[in-house]
Amino acid sequence: MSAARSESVLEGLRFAIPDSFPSFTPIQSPDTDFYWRGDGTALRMLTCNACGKITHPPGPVCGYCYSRDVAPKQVSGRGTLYAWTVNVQPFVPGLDPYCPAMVTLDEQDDVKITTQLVDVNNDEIEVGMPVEVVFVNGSDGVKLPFFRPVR
Amino acid sequence: MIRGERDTYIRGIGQSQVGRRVGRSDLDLTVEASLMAIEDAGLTPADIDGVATYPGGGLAATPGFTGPGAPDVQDALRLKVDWLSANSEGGAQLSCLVNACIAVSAGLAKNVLVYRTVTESTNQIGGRGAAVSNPTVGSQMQWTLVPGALAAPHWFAMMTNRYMTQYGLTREQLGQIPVNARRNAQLNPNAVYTDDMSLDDYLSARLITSPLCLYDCDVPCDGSTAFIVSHVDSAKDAKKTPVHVNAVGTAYRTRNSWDQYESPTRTAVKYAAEMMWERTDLRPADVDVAEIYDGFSIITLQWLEALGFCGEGEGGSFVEGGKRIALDGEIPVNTHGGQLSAGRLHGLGFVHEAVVQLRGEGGARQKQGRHEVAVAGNGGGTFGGAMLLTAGVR
Repeated sequence: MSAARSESVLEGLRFAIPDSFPSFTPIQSPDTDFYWRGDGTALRMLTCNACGKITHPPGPVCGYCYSRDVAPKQVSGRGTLYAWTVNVQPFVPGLDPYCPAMVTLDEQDDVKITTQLVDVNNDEIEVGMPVEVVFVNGSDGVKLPFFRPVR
Repeated sequence: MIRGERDTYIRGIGQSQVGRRVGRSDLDLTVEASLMAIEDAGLTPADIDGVATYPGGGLAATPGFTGPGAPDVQDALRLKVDWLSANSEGGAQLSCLVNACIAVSAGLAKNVLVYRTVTESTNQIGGRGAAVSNPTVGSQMQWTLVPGALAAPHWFAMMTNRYMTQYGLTREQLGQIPVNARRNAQLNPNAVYTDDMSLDDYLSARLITSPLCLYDCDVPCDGSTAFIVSHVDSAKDAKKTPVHVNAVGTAYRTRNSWDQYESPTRTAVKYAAEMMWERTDLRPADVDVAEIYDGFSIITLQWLEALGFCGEGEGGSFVEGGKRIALDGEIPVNTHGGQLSAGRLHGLGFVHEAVVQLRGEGGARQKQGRHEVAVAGNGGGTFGGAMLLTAGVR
């Protein structure tokens, strides 16, 4: 009889919405502050006023038409789970297993956001599942856009 | 007619003591490997007129990652150089070798000492906690680090998860990469890990971040690898078989980002390989050994596809059972044990092994039969560099 498979440690895990996450602090920048330091109520993405495309990560120019007429614009906050992993190695001492993830946005599926999947049981996670944004406090006033399943 | 790299060859190689917690300084290891390479080339330190390394000293990075800076090595060996270079941006770790080829081809130097040194094992403290001690982050890295994808295992775990979903790759298939590496490491006296490892051992190994287990991640080590890159005009004077640089690939034809890639099969490695093939008449079927990056096992699969040994998304079925990539298989892969078992020499260990195999100096791990063409691939994710090497100047 062979030993238990590596992934058996994930059985029964649940990832709640944490009160906060001890994140790195992004350096302040006029290009990116709107993304990290909003009021935590709505997801805003850098959007081109000329062609309408979302550029991510945000910067001073549209990545599609090179217009510099770009500004943050509220999006639906809904998307699709592109990829995920459950971290069990204690890279940060004291941190319980959690679920780093990548999500594509409903508005534009070539835009991927690295995030965490929360409010979910390990055994219900599936690539392709619909998800919606929920904000969690990071370090130094940062609001982290995390995602949870749409129910 | 391609010039540049094809004006150059690898004249000498050297590798220091390699191991876990060796406890020697990075400069000490570098000097050992460098003097070995100079001797192997049939040269003396007075013949060396250039120095190149990746990534160069002083780079803000985790302890033990950078190795000594080029000026430190130059001074320790009292080299009188016309050219030196250290850079972390370019064709992955391979960029230092490519830079040396360019310098030699352009006539800036005749014999360039190239080295890459790591002391990540000795400097490993607190279970890698040091890797996340920096509280602020800017530039590209913020988009993965701030939300909690804290380290390369997370980025490659998600890439592996996506690849598995998209192409049906199984852990049983992926496990052939580390199992093959371990089998080859058992024939390499300098390898770090040589205990038996079965596919069952792999499937039940400690999980790091799903779906990656311990054996999907390479082994931090201490060690230095060095090369002498010279102009082909001097090939007749070389002590050993000259190893000709047939083609390099340094392309970045995709988003330079850890999370905006179009697909897990279209990362930097794909385009580095694509460019390399554009610069040569040789084809994948001509390659006798493939020494390709395995910082995480998925990267080796991506290189196999990128280099054209199998189609896009077919890596899993290609390695299934492990026979094709074994030492006696149709394309032996990582004949020294790769970074997964021989130690994370960070890129240039693959080129060193390619030269060993082309010269027929592999001993128990020497690929039998033809060993005339080797490919080396460095990097994964947002980094990629490829190099095609031949035994003798063509």
